[in-house]
Amino acid sequence: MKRRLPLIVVLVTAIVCMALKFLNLGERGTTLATDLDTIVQTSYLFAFLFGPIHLIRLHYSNVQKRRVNWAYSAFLVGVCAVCTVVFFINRIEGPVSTFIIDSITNATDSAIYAMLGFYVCSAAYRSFKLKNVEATILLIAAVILMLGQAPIGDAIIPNTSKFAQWILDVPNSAGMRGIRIGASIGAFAASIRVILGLERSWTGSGS
Amino acid sequence: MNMAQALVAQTTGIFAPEMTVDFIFVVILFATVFVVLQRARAGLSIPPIRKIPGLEAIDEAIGRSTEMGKPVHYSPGMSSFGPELYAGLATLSYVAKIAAQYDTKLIVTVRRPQVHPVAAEIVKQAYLEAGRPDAYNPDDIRYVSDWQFSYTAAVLGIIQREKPAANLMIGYWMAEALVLAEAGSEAGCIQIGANTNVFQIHFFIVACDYTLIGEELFAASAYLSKDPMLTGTVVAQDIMKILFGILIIIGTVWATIAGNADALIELLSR
Repeated sequence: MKRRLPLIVVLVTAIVCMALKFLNLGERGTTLATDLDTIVQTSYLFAFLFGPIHLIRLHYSNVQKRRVNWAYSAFLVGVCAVCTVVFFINRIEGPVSTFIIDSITNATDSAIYAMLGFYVCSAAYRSFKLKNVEATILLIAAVILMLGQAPIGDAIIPNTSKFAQWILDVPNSAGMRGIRIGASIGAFAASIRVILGLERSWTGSGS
Repeated sequence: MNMAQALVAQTTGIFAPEMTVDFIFVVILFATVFVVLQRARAGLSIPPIRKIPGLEAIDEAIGRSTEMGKPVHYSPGMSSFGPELYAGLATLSYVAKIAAQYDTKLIVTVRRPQVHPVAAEIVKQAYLEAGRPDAYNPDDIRYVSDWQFSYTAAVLGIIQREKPAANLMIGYWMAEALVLAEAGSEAGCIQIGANTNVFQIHFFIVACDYTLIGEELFAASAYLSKDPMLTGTVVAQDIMKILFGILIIIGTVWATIAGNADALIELLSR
């Protein structure tokens, strides 16, 4: 039953959701959709507890057993404790909470995001090596696009910007749409596997 | 009023606005899946799935980790429960079983707290099926952070500190895709990436050894399990793709002859 119940819940929910999406159920349909949304949000909040509990347990155990780099774990546990206390006392809109979110969390988040620029350079360096035909096509397309985006491109070779735009609009769009159509139908088929209970590894029932 | 318009006019009362044609497509897909599944159940032949190098390489990647005595890092992506995550979790089940058989440490990092217990249960079950429940370590299934770049920073740290020999990123990825793939590349990992996000796939293509593009991610569970019932749904998916391909060709010809395909677009938008 432990394995079967989630499958039944998924099947019933899928049927209800599809009926709400496709059928014209009027006011009652809208109310039911809102209620379903509330149920989903509430169950998410309960499930949210699992993650932080595991995180604290793991890092507390690292500190207790003095594992390698245990100091980082101690720092994490300390930060979690401080944030929990501050957010409870100061509330999420309070000045201290806002400072933590805006000036510490968002700032470090942005720093990690900014690293992307450096990684783009190293990835570009590796991928633009003339290893094979595909890499050569990628290199030529990238050079044309980069030249097309800069005013100097048209000065060196006339109409480079128009050709670059054509690459974006025609072959690039065609490829992206092909992938999107395939992925959408694939997602659809994967959902059917889950709804019909053919795909049940997510229940922890193995293969 | 032509036949299609008459059909639409009759059904607007039952169907939600602009959902009639969508409903027809859903019914066609369900019917196709049903027919193919019936064939699979009856033991009749169904078309095979083409070879997907990225999925073939999973065994090789775990084998390499075993030989080097290093762990395998696996992540089911950034999304919450949805098709991409289910595909990622199905692949995790396979990876965990192989890792258990080879006695290789498997580190799983998850972004969503609600995914953590599911991933832990999948890995535990896989170790049990492989006959090595004692080798399962719950501390290796790690929830790190719900924040996108905090997760990224944490996984970067794990890759740098624990130096896995294989980095498998099977799911839905956003801006962190390249950061993680480059970190794995610098750590010398054999990398397999899978993504359906068209704005990030190219990063995996340049940074990973193998990339599952778009729909290949969703075929993973069927491909790895070799179960004819699951394979049948992939065949049904390909039949639908052919149907959409025909629609695209009709639209292209229509637009070329008539100057636009507005009538077809309007019909499909009903």
